[in-house]
Amino acid sequence: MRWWVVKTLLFKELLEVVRDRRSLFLMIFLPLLMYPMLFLVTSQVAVNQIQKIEAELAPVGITAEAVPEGLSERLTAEDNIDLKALGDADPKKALTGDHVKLVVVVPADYEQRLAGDGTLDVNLLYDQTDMTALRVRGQMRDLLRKWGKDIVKARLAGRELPLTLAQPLTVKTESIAPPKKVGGHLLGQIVPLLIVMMVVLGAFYPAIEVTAGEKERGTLQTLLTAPVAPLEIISGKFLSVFFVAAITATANIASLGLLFGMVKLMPDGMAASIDLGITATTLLLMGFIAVLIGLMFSALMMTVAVLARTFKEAQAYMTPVYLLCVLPVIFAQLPGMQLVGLLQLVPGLNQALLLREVLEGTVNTQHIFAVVVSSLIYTFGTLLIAARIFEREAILLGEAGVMGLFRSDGTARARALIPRPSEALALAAIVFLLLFYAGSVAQAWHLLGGLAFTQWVLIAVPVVVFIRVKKLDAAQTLGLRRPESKATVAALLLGCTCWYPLMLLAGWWESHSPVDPDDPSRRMMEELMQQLMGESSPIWLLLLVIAASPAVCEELLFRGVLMRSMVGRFRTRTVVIWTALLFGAFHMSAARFIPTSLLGIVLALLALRSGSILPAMLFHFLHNGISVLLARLEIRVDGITVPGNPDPFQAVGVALVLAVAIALLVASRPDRIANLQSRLTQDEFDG
Amino acid sequence: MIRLEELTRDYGDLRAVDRLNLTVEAGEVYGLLGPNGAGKTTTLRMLAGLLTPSFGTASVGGASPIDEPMVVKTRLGYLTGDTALYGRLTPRETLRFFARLNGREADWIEARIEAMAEELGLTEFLDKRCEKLSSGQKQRTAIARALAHDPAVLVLDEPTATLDVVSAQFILDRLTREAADGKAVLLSTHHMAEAELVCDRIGVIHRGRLLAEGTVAQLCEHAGAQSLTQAFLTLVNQEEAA
Repeated sequence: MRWWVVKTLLFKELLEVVRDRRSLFLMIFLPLLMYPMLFLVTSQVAVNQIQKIEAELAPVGITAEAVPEGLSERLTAEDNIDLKALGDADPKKALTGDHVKLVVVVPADYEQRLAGDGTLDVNLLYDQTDMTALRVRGQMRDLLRKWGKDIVKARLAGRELPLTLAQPLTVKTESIAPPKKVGGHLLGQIVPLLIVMMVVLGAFYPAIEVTAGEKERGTLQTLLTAPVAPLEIISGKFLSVFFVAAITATANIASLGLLFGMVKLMPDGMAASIDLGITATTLLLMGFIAVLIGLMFSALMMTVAVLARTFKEAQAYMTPVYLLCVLPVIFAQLPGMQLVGLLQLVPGLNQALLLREVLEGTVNTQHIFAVVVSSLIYTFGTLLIAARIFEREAILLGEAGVMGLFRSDGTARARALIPRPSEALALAAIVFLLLFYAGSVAQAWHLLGGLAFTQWVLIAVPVVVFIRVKKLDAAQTLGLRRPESKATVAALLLGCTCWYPLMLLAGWWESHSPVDPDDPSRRMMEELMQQLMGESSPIWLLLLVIAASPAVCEELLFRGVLMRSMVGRFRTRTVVIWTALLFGAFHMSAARFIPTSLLGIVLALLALRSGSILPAMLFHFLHNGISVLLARLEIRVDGITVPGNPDPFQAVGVALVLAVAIALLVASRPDRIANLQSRLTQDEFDG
Repeated sequence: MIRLEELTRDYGDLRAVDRLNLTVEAGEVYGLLGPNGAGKTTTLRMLAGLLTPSFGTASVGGASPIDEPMVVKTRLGYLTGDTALYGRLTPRETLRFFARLNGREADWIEARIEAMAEELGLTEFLDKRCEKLSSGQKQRTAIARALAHDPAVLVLDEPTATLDVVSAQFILDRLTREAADGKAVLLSTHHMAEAELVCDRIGVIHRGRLLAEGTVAQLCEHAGAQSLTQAFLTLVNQEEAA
C-alpha cells in the first residue's frame, strides 16, 4: 500500500467533508450545542420547577374542630403551608375539589388519647400525582414526627424520667464511596449513550458520502480508472470517515468539559444536579475512548455503506446498523454488567463499559489494554472485509447492491417460474410472524393440536397460497421431482444415523453453551417434550405431528421455496448456509440453534444433490421420527437413554454408515438442477 | 497501442461482448459505433480494468489490465459515459487530485493545469465548484481530467452525448489534436456524423460482435452503401436477419 496515495485520497475526502455543511454541523456544532442545551433543559427547568413547587403556599386540612396546639406551634415556622381545620367536612371531597393539597386525618377523640398516654393513628391523604402534594406530604411527615417527639418528651418529663429511656439507640449512616462514584454512576448512565450516539452519527453521513454517494454520482468509476488499489481507496476513505468521527468525539468531550467547567461557577442549587467531580484526566480518558469508538464504528459503517448503490439505499442499510451500535451501550447500563472476562472483548459493549468505569473512577490499565487491542483487531478485520467487498466489480460499479455480495458470476436475474429470493424471504418473514404469534397461542391452547395447526395452516398453507398467487411453477419452485437415486439412499442412511452425532453434539453443546441451563426457553422446551412424550398420546399420532408434518411442511418452505429461489442465483455454499441459518433461526431457541442449523445444512445438501425435495423430506421424517421414538423409550423403559458417552462399537458403526452416505451424496449427479436452471434461463431470454 | 483479442464478457447467459478483436495504433482515432446496448461501454470498461473479461484479453501498450492494472491505468485517460465530477471540488482541485494519483509531481501538475486551462478554455471557472458549472463546462473539465496526467491512450465513452453542437465540436477537435500528438484514441459513439468527422477507423458493433471495421469508405464499400448511416443500417440489419 502506497501511503502517498492514501494521503491524496484522504485530503480529497476531507476537502469535500469540510465543504459539506451537514457534516460540519453534525461533527462540531451539534455536540457544542447539545450539551449546554441538555443542561439547560434538564437542570434549569427542573430547578425552576422545584423552586416553584417549594415556594407555593399549600392549603392543608385537618379533620378536627381546631388545629391541635402542639402542631400549630410547629406550623408557624413553615411559611408555605396553610393548615385549616376541616371540622366535619368530608376529607376526600376537600381533596378532589382541590380546596386542600393534603388532609391530616386524626381520630375525633385525639385530645383524650393524647391526654391518656394513648397512641394517635394519623393518616395523610393526598394525590400522589400532584407534585405540591408530594412536597407537603414530606413536610407534614417531618412535622408530625417532631410533634410526636415533643409529646414523648412531655410525657417523660411529667414522670421525671430521662429522655434516653425512649431512645435507647441512635443510628448514623456514612457512605464511603467517593462523591465521584456516586455522581459518576448517574452520569455513567446517560453520557456513554450520548457519546456513542453522537460519534456514530458523526460518521454516519461521511460513511455514506464516500461510498454509496460516490457510486450514485458515478465518481467512483472515475476514481477506479486511476492507478489506485482497492485497499488504498478503502484506507483513504476510512481515514476520512474516522477523522470526522474523531473530530466529533473530540467536540463532544470538549463540550462536556466546558459544561463541567461552567457548572463549578454556578450557584449551588443549579450545579448540584450535575456536579460530578469530573477531572481533566477523566475527560482525556473519555476522549480517548470516544475516539476508539469512532475508529471501530467508522469501519463498520463504511463497510455497510459500501454495499449500497445509492445514498437512499445506504441510509436504509445504515439505520439498523446505527441502532445496533447504540444497543451495546444500553446493555452496558444493565445492573451487574462489569468489564470482566469475555465481556472485555465484546465490541461496542466493552467500550461502553470502559467509558462507565472511567466515569465511576474504577478504570484500570488491564481493562484499557483489552478494550484497545480488541477494538483495533475488530477495526482491522472490518476494513479487510470492506476491501474484499470493494474488489467485487458488481458492487463497485453499483449494479448489484447488497445482493452483489452473494451473487455468483454468470447468473440470470429474472426467472418467472421460480420466485425471486426477496419474495421467498418475504414469505419466510410472514411465516415467522405467524409462528411467533398465532403458533404460540395455538400451542398454548392445545399442544399437539397446536403443533399440527402450526405446521399445516401456518407454514404449508402460506406456501401454497404464495405459489398460487404468484402463479409460479409448483414443481420447480418446490423441487417436486423424481430424486437422484444415490442421494435418496444417502438420505435414508443419514436419516437413520444422523441423530447419533447430533445427540453427541447436543450433549457437548449443553456443557459448553453460553446459554444458561435454567434458561426459560430451554426449560419450556423440556417441559414441552415431557408433556408430548407422556403416555396420553398414541405413538402414531406423535409420529404424524412431530415427524411427518414438519418433514412435509417445513421442507416445502425451506428446501422448497426458499432454497429454490436462491439456486443458480447465488453460489452453492451461500445457498446452503443461508437456508440452514434461517432454518435454525425459525426454531426460535438459542439452545437448539446450532444443532438445527447443522440439520439444515444436511437437508439442503440432500435437496441440492438429489435435485429434489423428496430425499430431504425422507431424511427429516426419519430424523424426527427416531428422536420421537428415543424420547418415548427413555420415559417408558429404564436404562435405555440417548448416548451420553459414546460406545466405541456404536460410534464406529454409525461412522461407517455416515461415510457410505456421504460417499453416495458426493457421487450423486447434481447435473439435473444445473440443466434445469440453464433451460429456464434460456426460456426466459427467448421469451 | 490498444489490442483486444477475442475479448468476451458474459452477464449470466447474456453475452454482452462476443469475441471482439481490434487494434488501435498511436496517432489514430478509432470509433466504436453501435446502438445502445451493443456492448461498447462493457468493452471500454474491460480495457480500463473495471470489468474482468469472461474470455480473451485486452492490452494497452502490451500490458494487460488484469495482470498489470496500475501500468494500464497510468497509460490510460478514461472518460466515463456520465460526466462524473466531485461537486464540492473545483476543476483545479479535480485535475490536481487525478494527476497526483497518477504519480505526477506538484510542479509538473501546476504547469499542466495552467496549460490545459488555457487550451480547453477552463480558465474562467477553474476555481469554481464543479456542482455550479454548466454541462458544457463540466464535460470540458471531465475531458481535462482524463488528460490531466498526459496519458498515451485516451478511452472515451460517448464523450459528446450530452453536449450542444458547439461544445461537441470543441471536444472532437481536441481529440483530433491529441491523436495528432501521437496518442491512441478509442471512443464509443452512436452518432454517425461524429464518427465520420473524427475517426480514422470505425468498428461497427452490434449485440457485442464487431460486424465490420475500416475507414468510412471501406465500410461503405463493404456494405455496398452510399453513406456511413446506410452502411451501418445494412450491417445491423444483416446481423439481425442472421
